[in-house]
Amino acid sequence: MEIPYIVNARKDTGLNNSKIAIWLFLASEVMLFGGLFSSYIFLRVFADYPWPERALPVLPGLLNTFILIASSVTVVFAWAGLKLRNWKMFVGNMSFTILCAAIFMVFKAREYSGKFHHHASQTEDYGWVEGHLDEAHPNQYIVESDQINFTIESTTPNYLNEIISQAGNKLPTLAEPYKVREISKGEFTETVLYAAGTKLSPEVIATANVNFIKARTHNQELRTQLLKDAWKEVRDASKHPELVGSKDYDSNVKAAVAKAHNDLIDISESNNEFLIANGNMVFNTNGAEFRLNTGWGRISNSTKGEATNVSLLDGTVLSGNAGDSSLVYHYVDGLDFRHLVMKAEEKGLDAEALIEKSPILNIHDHGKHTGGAKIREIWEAHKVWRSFLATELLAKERVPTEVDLYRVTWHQMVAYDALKKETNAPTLAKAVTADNWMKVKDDHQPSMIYDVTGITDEHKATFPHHVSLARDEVRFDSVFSPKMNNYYAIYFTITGLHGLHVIGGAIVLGYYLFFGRKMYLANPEWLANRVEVGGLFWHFVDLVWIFVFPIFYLM
Amino acid sequence: MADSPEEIKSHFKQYGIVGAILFAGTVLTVAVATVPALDIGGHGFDKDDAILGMCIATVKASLVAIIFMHLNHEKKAIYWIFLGALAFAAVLIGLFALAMYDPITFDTLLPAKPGQ
Repeated sequence: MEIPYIVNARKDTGLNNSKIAIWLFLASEVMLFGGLFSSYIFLRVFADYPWPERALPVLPGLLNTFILIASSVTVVFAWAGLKLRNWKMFVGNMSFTILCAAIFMVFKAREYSGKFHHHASQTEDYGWVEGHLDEAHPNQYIVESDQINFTIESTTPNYLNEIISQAGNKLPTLAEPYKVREISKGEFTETVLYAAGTKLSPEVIATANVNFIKARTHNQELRTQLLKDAWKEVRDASKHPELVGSKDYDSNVKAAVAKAHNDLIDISESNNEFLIANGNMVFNTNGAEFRLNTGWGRISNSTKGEATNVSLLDGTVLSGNAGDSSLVYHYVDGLDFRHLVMKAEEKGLDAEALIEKSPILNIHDHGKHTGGAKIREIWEAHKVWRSFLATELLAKERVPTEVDLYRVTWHQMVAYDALKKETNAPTLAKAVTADNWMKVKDDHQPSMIYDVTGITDEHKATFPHHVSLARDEVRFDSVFSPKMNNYYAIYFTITGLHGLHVIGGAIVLGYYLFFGRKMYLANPEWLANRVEVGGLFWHFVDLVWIFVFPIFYLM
Repeated sequence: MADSPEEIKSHFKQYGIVGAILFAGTVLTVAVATVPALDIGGHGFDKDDAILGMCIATVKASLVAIIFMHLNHEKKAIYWIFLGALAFAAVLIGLFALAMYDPITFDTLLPAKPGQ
């Protein structure tokens, strides 16, 4: 049986099935992307940190826009080719459309890859450093541990298994016997569940946890009962209204309350009927070295050789001596003090003074880590540059933006270095003068040339190299992934979902290109109808990108 | 709906012109966002730039919808579906306005600065 109205229109609506279906589907897609764009607006307006403006290179986005526009034109011509029964016109235009989709995804993949390899760290004062990490220096907390204290109820298998794996044949051993006081048939018995020296394993933690929870539950029920009994006595003492106002009534009630209070203290201090099982287990590790993911918790002190604790998110604490846990950048290609300034202004503090004291500008260079001085030099040059910018803008009754004042991009680092070479000045700051400051572009004028070249070796030579940040001065660090902040989360969500739509649309159009010949020969109008509907989806994908590009790349 | 071969061929020039306008619109969008001489409002990005950028994007999107997606000669049912979706999308974006004018939320999220 042939399904009606696949190609011929219905008499009432004048439409065929697929036309109505695709428009209904597109309506749902409008809601999907509309919701995401609405989320973007909320996230941006109510962000409690400086929103990353112009954080993406413009040229890839611009090229992707051109590519999608061109593909939109050719998909219409592909449909027209079918309507005109010109198979070659269809094949040529549709092939170009799919090629555009592939190129779009290549640019997208390169953009994402660049983001995932670019690193940023926020110091405790909310300053930001951006760049690429030194791969020879691991980005980890390193602790030469003496003891590990597990909060057994919350110990997660992930962390526990990693600790056991890194310990190897030097498994941590229980520091003291793990005793439990249990009750069985009304009789209390104290036993040593695990002797001192028991090796760490998931089973040991799990069994101890079972006993701990059993004991805690019993003790809580016992306390609740004792409290109920105490309250009953107070209530009974207050049941004689005829005594209200009399000395006896007041003293009876007061005595009952005092007794209940004392009972509470007894409940806390006495443990005659309580079970015992410790919620913590301490293991000796005898100096075993552990290297832990920095996202797993916090390090208390990262000065090599000094006492430190690494506190993991599940409550596990590794105590010992710090290894060299510093965060080392191979090179730094960005500085950003906007968040520091924002926090300073909230507290009514002098932002400029706080910047001068920032750990980023006061890095202690040692050994081969010599980039700290260069960072300071770049900042001094930037202060000179922004004063010239402010003077020029003031003449036009405008002011520099926060981005101009407090963010140094790699373009600017390269430009400062170029000025120094030009003028033969002894420092970058002295190289920036009233005659040449305008050669350094502000952040709102992206250089397409740099978007084409990317960061070359010549550029990298101008950056601070081998910058070592003490770990306990780092508040947060990440690659530019959804984890970084809300901006990157929504950026990857919207562009990732859009990219999936591009792939899906290309697959559908590709199916008609490669397998549509048979349908064309049997019923060309049917194929034309299919391609029209696929083309409508493709135009919608282009439509979404028309809004994505200015919102994410230019605003 | 353009069905006859003659009608379809007559639209070729239109598709080409719209494609060229879209390219030009994209270049204009980048220019107003990056060229200092075209920077309206205050220095750098501000709400004037956002409004201008969104206006250009809306014109481009309208051209795609009207010409490439054939909305200029579609049936009533499609217009209802399309306008209905637009209306709901406008409400979604407009939810932001509700949050901005809600005195409790606004004051909590964006407390008044000293002196305000």
